[in-house]
Amino acid sequence: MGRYIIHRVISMVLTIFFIVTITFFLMHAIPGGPFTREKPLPEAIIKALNEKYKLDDPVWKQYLDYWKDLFRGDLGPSFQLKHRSVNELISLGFPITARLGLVSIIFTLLLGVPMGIISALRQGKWEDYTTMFLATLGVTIPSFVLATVLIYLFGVVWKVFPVMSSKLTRPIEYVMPVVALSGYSLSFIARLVRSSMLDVIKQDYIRTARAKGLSELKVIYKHALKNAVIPVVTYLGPLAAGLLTGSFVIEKLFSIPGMGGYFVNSVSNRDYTMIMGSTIFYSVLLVIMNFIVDIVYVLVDPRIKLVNVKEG
Amino acid sequence: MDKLLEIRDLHTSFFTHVGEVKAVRGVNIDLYQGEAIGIVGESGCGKSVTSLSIMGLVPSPGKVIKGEIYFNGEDLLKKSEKEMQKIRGNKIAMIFQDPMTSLNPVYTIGDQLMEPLRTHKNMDKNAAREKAIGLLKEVRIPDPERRLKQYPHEFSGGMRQRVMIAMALSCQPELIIADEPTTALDVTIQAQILELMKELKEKFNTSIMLITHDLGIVADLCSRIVVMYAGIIVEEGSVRDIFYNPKHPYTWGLLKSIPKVNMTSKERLVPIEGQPPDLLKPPEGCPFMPRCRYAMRICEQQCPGLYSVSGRHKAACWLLDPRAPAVEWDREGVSFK
Amino acid sequence: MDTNIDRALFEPVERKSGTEDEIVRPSVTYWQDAWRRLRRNKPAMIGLTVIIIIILSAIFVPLFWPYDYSTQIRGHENLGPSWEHPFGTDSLGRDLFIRVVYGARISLSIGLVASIINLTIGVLYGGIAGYIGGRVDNIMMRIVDILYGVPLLLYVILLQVVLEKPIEQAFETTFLRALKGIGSDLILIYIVLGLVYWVNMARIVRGQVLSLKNQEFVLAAKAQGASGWRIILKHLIPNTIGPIIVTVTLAIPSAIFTEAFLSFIGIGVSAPMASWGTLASDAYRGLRSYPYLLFFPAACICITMIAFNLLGDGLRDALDPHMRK
Repeated sequence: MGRYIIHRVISMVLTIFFIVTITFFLMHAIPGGPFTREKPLPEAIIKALNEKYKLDDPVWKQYLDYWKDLFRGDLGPSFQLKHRSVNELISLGFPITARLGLVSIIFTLLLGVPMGIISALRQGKWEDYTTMFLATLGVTIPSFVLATVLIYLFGVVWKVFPVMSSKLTRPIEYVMPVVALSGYSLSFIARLVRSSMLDVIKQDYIRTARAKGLSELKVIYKHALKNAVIPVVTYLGPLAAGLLTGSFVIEKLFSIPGMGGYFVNSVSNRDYTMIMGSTIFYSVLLVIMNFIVDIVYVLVDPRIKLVNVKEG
Repeated sequence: MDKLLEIRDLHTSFFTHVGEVKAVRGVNIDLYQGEAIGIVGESGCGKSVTSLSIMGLVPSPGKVIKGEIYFNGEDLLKKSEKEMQKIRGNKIAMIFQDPMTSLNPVYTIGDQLMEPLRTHKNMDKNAAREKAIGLLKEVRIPDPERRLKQYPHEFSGGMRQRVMIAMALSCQPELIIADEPTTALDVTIQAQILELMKELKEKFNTSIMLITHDLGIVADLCSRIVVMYAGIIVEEGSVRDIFYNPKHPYTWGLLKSIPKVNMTSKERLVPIEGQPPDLLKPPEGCPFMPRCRYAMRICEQQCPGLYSVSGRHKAACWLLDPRAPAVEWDREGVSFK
Repeated sequence: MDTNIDRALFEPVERKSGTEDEIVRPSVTYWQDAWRRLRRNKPAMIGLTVIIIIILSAIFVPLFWPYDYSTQIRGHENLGPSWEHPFGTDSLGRDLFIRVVYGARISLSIGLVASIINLTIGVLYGGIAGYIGGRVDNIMMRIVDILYGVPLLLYVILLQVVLEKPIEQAFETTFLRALKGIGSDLILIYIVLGLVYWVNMARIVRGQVLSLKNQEFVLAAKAQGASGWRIILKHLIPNTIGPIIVTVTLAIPSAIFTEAFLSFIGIGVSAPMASWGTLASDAYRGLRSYPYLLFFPAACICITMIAFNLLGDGLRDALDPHMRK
């Protein structure tokens, strides 16, 4: 286990190094620099700006400086919003995004896993057909379409839920954004759990458990369930990534002032430091998430340890 | 000796979307206390389905449609699922073919070994642990305290099968059904496992039903053999009867496919040609008829009943009818006389 | 036992030898077999039909439809669906139906071109990694692992920002000027989506190549002195084609989706010919009063996604029974 963790930490650090490097050089490969406009700014201003942001330094020096700042946890100033730093924008927006994301993950797991299990245990019955029909729709309908349908029906026509969720202070404001955001992952997990559950209940060790005289409840909830949810653990990384990027559109549609909105704005405004900072922030966040998921995976599935030690 | 198990006219079918597959078609088996019986036949002959029928574990879409299975005088087929749960693992335990897949990969050996004890004997954790350690010692797994905390993937195939045997023994069942317990193992390990089973059988006086496609491994452990083909019993008798005086051409085929140690290069293993019949539409006559070298016209029309050869030795073959031509078996070959 | 059986029945049966095992079955090729399996899969055939209908309409409807995507019909602003305008008209009096049809051209072309670029990169990358193996494979796959761990959509956006100007410039100065009608925005999205989402393809191709690499026909080709490239192109790739077709089929809707997503948050294609995503995004502002403007493009996106997914699942079952879940 110890060796495995060290192995994973090294690869995580490497990944973060690549992410920062690639992102940095990509952003600096843009011709003309960040202050090129349709209507060119006066030469003097550009010069002053370049000086202020040290853009006249050689690229490698800027790169090293960027790393130095990163180590201090500083993602630099925003190029577009005056007197704001990228850190400030992230600390303003991210807590809201994180809340939405967290609630969505919980919602996804609490609903998706049981849906998959029920579907598998009632294979071929109406419960199965209904669940799988919904799940098939869920994985094919884009989140923004689902969100607009929800807004139109529940917000505009029937007025059940508030359309503008503002700062997500009241529980009722969560309902529509969470449903819209989790639609895909929820359906995906339901399908995943169903197929893995169907696979597991055919396994020999389930027959062994029955032959021991365990009750059906114990066979399913002890012996089958743990095996069936292992694939879900591997999906948690992509799930988090999906929810984070998915929140771009959900935050926009529900006017939630989260980080997604800032990020999308920074792209439209070509706020290079903000784009770079957010990309690095998101990527590193997900890399760390993936690391945690891998550790959880080892805890859930004892077989993994051996495989990785052998490889490493 | 008391009859422990008595199977009467058992019929088990699988209701698939292409139709009813009649996997077991009227099987009768008696098993006495402390006796070991071998059920032999090719894969698909209904031997495993018979054993799962006893356990009440025939997988869907399979179903026992007719018959009785008396265990200590009580019909298991009339018992509720709850009552069956009290019998499984407790009074009747089962060992399966593939030890690599028969243990749950995400729980420790100890956990799985203690499960039947905790379920059936209401043992607390410590008592169950002590007992589990004792059981692992019994099946000769070294260092049982440490082994208990390990997961199945840390065990070799032979070791896992020992664990399965320990698990089957845990509640001191009256009957152990072993379904191809050595098929998935290396030959040397096979011998060890068989030796272990034999020893434990003597020690605990458990009855054993050994299911296998390999006549060779039966002789050592069992006193009686039942040969199944296409869902019916074609021959049954003591090990002596079956090995030295077999009466059914299918049994002859099985015997000829066992390699002998002192075989000369001229002697060859003879496979049984052809395939077993499709049990979606079982033939009206003898199911072995299409593969039988001695088939007669009657075989095609009518399925033979069991002819008594001597004592408990019986065979279902028209050749045993006095009107049939005499055919003699010996190890080197069969000859018409 | 029945004792009244005719003695004659106890005569041995004469038997012709060697007839028991005869199995008469016409031999079918892999493709015939796959097509037969696919045809029996109803959802997949529905998906295929829908895709064909969409493609045919995208090609042929503009040829005879009375309006163009940019025609503004005075007095026909904000009309609901009718016989004249099956999908209604927008606030500028443009016929929504023809705009959706042109949207199909844009969206489908994005799906197709992006997937082809993915395919090329993925097959080369995965093929080389799998074929060379050893340390090269190790490093190449580590890189793929890293890419797997990052949110790729972010890099789509990043590349869009980075490549925007170079591509615009290329359009002004190089031979690409000829393609100006398509719009540099569209080319940009083709390239960006194509550059980012090849990771999955590379993994699948590598897996296939690894498993095929040591098989005898490769050895035979080597023995005949075929070069490494020749082995990759002539022997390995044709044998890995099944899972690749499935992956491409499933990559098309995800590219369409990604473009729609980007358009919807306002950083996608901004050409005169709007994609489905752009149409939906434009309509969102008027959702309260003119929901049908959103309904039709959104429905098109959904139907296309479902159709491709059904077809992809069907192909998976038909082409590679081992991949079946």
